[in-house]
Amino acid sequence: MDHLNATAPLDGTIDLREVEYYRNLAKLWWDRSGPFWPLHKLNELRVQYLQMTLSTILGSDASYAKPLQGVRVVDIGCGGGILSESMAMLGAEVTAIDVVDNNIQVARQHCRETGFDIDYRLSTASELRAAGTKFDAVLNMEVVEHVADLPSFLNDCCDLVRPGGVMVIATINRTLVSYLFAILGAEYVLRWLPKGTHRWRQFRKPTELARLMAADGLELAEKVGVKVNPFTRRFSLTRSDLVNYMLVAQKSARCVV
Amino acid sequence: MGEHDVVIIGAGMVGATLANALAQRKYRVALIDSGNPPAVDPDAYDLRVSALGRAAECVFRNLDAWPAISAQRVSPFRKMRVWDAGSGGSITFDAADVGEPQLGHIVENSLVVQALHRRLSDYPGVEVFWATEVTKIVPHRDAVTIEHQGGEFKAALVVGADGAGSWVRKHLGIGTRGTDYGQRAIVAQVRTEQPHEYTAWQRFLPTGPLAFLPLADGSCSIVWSCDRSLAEQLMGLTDEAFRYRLGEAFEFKLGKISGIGERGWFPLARSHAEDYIAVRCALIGDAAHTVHPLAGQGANLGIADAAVLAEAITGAAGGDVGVRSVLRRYERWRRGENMLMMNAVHGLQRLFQFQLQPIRQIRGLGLRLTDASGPVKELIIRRAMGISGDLPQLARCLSGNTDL
Repeated sequence: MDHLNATAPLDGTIDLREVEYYRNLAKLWWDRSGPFWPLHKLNELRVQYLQMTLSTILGSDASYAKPLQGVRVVDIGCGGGILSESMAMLGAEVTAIDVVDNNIQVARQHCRETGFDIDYRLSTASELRAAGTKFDAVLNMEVVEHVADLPSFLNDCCDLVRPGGVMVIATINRTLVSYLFAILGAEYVLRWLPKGTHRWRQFRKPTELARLMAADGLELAEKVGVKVNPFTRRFSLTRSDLVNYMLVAQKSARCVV
Repeated sequence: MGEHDVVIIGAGMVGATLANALAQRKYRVALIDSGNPPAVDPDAYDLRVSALGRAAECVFRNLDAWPAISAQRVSPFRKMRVWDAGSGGSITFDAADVGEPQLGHIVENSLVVQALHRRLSDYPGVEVFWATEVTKIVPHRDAVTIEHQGGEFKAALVVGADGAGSWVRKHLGIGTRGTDYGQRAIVAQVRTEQPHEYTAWQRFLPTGPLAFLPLADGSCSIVWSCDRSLAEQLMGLTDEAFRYRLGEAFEFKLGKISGIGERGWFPLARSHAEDYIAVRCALIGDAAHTVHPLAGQGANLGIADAAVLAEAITGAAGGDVGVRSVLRRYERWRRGENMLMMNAVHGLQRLFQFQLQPIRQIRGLGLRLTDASGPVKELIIRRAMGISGDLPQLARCLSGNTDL
């Protein structure tokens, strides 16, 4: 996906050209049959799951037209804003960060067109932590497998969760099956993802993530697997966490004794 | 390190009260705490607040600490309104019924502790050691040694004022009796649509009591007792969802809950130490007894312990303050009083938990009858304010120093 991370034209005097550039990039991100189609498909399933899980734990009114009303969410590694906009559509107050400037520009551009009120920032979890903001839900979707210093990254993310709030992580397990499916299958056979998108050794087992979060006072509340049918290209939830999985962990409330 | 008459372990509200009482009488005191001095946030209320009754107020007045406390965020409460979800019965206690200006004051624990420590720094005979972990207590015939990481203290008496999970109590091998209510109390500062009217509000729900205590800036401090599982669920809610659930549980008595700060919790248990004393050792406050917060008596009982122990020490014949006769006088005096209050509070807690129809009806009738009966109400108010019962000298206000 190198073409997506290319630097914007630097002769910033011509604003129109820059706008046009990001508009085209946004079209690519948001094209459901374009290169990001797996993300869109996965997003549908995730949003359903998050709506149900978050409204149960955080007590927002699931029967309401905006079932995540009053929920303060931060989307870490928001990319072009596919999940962020879905969360905003459900009524959540969304902050979204990414370290790739192009992504933030794309997300802002699309957001201007759709009219959502999302706080997109070119920022890191540790910068957000330094600002002292706390969230009801911290969403880490397909991020931890790309992070170099995972313990310190997760430590920052855990600090962003208010006491009693939750963190949701979606990632890929480190198993033989995940090697066959996620790398050989998705990158080489089916070519759904560009070669080299993932490095198997960077994948994390659920127990590894749970242990790191427990050290920061978050307890595992739920774990669910995600599977895909390569023929129908449909994603669904499963009990098996051998390839893709999601974790929900809740931060313990503050004891004042 | 030098010798002291009394070494107090635990520099919180109760320990610091005893230190003040002894320092005022010129005893040499060391006050040790494993933690750090309490931090007071000028912009935010401490989540731990206490309802100080008249007796506790008098103790602080007599220790000359009250002006520093009342100059800060303290809120008098004039009425107490209690009602029941099951029976529809309610009762109102009014300070005017007993000819008092108020029933008590809602104070933040950290502010009281800070005021007591400021006062302590005026006494040359007092030394305070923060971040000091005691490792061993060794009683001898004529003294007691208190060992810590950096050395040791020698004293005539050591006092454990180190709270509900008291290390001193466990170290002395003193057991406790009681009930773990299996409940938690959720605490938070909230804003309500309507003014609190300087009233302490309490609703008994089938899940436990919910109190709204008035604060000086017009907001309220809530104490919501409920089963652990419900508490955990409530702590997970967003502010918006929690505000709604809270308002609903409170029957929107003060309108909607319009704002809320950070939530915290503490465990609820009733526990009573089997002994208050051992050789050259005494336990005071939560180290000796913990009580359900529904009647707001925890801090008051601890402050009374400190006042009585100070009086027993002052009355020591021959000057040795750690002898058994001194400690026995303290234990005899306080054990009965504490037991009485603990049983009353426990009884109330149980009475309001019952959901059987006949019991609910009797409860409603009882509340209405009590509410209608002047003398019974007066008796309850006086007891809860701590202006009846056997009071030590330190808990009696001289006439003329009662105004704020």
